[in-house]
Amino acid sequence: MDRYIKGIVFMMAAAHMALFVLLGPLLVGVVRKTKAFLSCRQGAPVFQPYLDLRKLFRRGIVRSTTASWVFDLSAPVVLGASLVLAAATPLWSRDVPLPMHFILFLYLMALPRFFQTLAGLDTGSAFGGLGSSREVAVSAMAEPALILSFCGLAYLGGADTVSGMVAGVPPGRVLWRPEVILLAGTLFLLLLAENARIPVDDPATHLELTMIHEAMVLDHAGVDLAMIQLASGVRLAIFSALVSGTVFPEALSLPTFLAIPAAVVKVVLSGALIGAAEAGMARMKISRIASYLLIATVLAAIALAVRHAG
Amino acid sequence: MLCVHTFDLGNSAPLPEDPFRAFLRETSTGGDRLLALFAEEPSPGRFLLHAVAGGSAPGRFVHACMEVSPRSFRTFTDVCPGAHWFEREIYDLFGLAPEGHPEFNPLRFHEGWPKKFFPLRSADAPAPDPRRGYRFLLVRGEGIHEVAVGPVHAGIIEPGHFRFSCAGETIQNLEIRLGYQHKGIESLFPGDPGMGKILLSESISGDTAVGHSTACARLLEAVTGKPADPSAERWRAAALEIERISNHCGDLGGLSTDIGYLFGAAHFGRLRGAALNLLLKITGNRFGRGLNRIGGIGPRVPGIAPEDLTAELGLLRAEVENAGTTLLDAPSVVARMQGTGRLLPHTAKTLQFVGMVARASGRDVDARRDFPSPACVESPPAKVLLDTGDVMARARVRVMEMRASFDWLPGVLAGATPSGATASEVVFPAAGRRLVVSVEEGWRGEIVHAAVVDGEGRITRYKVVDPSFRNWPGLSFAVRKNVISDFPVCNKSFNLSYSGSDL
Repeated sequence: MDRYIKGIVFMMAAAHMALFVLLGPLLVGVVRKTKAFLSCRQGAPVFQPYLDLRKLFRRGIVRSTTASWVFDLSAPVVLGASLVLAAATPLWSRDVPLPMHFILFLYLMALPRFFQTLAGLDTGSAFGGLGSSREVAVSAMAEPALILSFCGLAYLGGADTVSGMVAGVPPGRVLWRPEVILLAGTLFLLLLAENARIPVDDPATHLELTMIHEAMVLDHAGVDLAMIQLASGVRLAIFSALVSGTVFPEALSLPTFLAIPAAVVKVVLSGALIGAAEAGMARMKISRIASYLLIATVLAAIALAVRHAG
Repeated sequence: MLCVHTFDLGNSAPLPEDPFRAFLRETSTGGDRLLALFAEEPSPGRFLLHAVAGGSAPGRFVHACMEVSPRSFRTFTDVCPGAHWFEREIYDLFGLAPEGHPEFNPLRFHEGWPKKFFPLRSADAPAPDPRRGYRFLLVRGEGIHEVAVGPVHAGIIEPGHFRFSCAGETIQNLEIRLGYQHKGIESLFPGDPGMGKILLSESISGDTAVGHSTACARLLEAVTGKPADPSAERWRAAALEIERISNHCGDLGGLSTDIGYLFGAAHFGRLRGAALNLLLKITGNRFGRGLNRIGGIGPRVPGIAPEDLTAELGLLRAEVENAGTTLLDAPSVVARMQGTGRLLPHTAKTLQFVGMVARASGRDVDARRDFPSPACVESPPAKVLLDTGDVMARARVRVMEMRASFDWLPGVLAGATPSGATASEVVFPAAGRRLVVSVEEGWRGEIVHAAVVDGEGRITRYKVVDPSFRNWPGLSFAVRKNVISDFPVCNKSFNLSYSGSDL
């Protein structure tokens, strides 16, 4: 009997992660399509990221001669860590296969970045080094905002696991609850910063000198690049699930046959929102990223204060 | 004609070194500015340096020449900093070394070239010293790192090598190494002044086909004595302004792409195409090739009636104004461009930069006013001048120049006849060795073509100065102490031609 239960739990966990793997590239596709639509272009099909991944998975790997085992390990670690994070993120239900304390969650988010920056330095290219140094600077500046907003969510949701705190956000009209709006806003600002979107980074640029995230992965190819791109999609989906879960906690309590379509709708909507945000402004100077992330930190602090006072 | 001038070389003896030096010093302090400095080998082993300046009054040209030894001459960069790239070019083409030059490196030639090969030096001249190798400036200090970009770039653009010496993100020095596009254009011009030379001039820099071919056509007309009629000159001027509009639109789209501003990228990219399509209607080619002939414009030019063109320009203008206002008013765009890549007016003046880059840095130079072509004599397009010198100023200058061109075009087209007949008037050319100089304000800045013509009316030396050649050093100054991630947007705000510079 026990064995069957274990089997079912395993299947559920696999299905949960598989949904993230499926929705990640879709989310990227929706963002790109929205940007194309807003600039009066046709754009690539929404499902293009899947085709790109298929293409990359079939390709061989070209590797810098200076690269070591750290470089080889980086892509699997990045994808693996993202999948573990996905297992802890509520997408369609408050029950997740791997309930995780939010501090552990935050540091698991830092693990793939650690490996990716090392891999960027490992190839010996000037661009990799530039990208790694920028990535570390941005993530260090984003950390206070990230921790404060997770603390705020934990306070609000009355739980210390990621799934528990998002599902525990009191339902009701969001517009009447300033702390929810502030927290969702902070998380959205962090989503843009942590996923290399405009205004912090430009995922579409071809200019190596301006890249942050892309400069680090310039020397990855084939299967490695596919894993990194898939992980970026999953990561974007995780952030979207956190933001949309905070704004619509009710969607996590729906019956399963409704909850999964609702999750897909949430992902598509957040993709459109990210695309619209990206299309509406230019990228900022690198020196201004600090003030951008400071704003996110202040918003999170205000949310905490409002929650405490209320 | 105020945009073309012929100097009689037969009657003017070369100057000694000191008056020649004084002449060049004048160009960096006085009202006349340096237009070109180039070498010539009139007979094997005998070398002359020609300096052409002008511009202090409409149509004013002055010239000086000096004989130099077949090995070297004392540099003039110390009295005329604007001459520094000209002197490096003279070394590359003729093997005449500028002694004491502050940055004496080959400009066009690379390690793969034969050490004793100087393309314009005749085989009969005394054997030159072997070419010296290229040495990058080495920046030393705690935490200085070098980033090398190019010559092969990530986009589909021309080749050039950029060597950054950075402390962290901050650029301490940028060294630009060009020459990958050298194709020996100047050596293809000597000979009979025929139609083939105009075709050649159209390919000096692909985006400035109208500018270069107009300058070349006027020069050849002065050599052969067949001036174009006023209507043809009006069509030339109109095509030149439309070329300016199309390139300014393209650049604003490129700037938007580089800062990730989707709206500007999409709309200005489209408007560039719309402006190019107007050139297509006039000349039958989207880049304005085939516009010029010696003595007028091509047989199928113009392919559109002046009043139709005016109407289409009105439609284009509304869209350009709309997109330009939206771009320059977007807060995120202003925040990104303001204060970025500042080229100080002092630098622009000292190094004698030209064109819109100079006009964004407070240097009031415009060949349409200083060397007016027949269509510009009465009233050139309105003056555009800003002095902040940053990327924002260069973007604003582009929008303002387009506005000035749109204002000016209907007036010029009103006097143009639908079909450009070539002139019948023939002016017999002056005999004797002479130097003909022709200047035109291309969209980047002033284009100078100069030709030494012998007694039989054959070209013996042809010199092309593209504004890119003058302005490339400006990019190094503009990015200094900026962060390296701002380089692409600074580079795009200059948008200099590699081909026009490498010749």
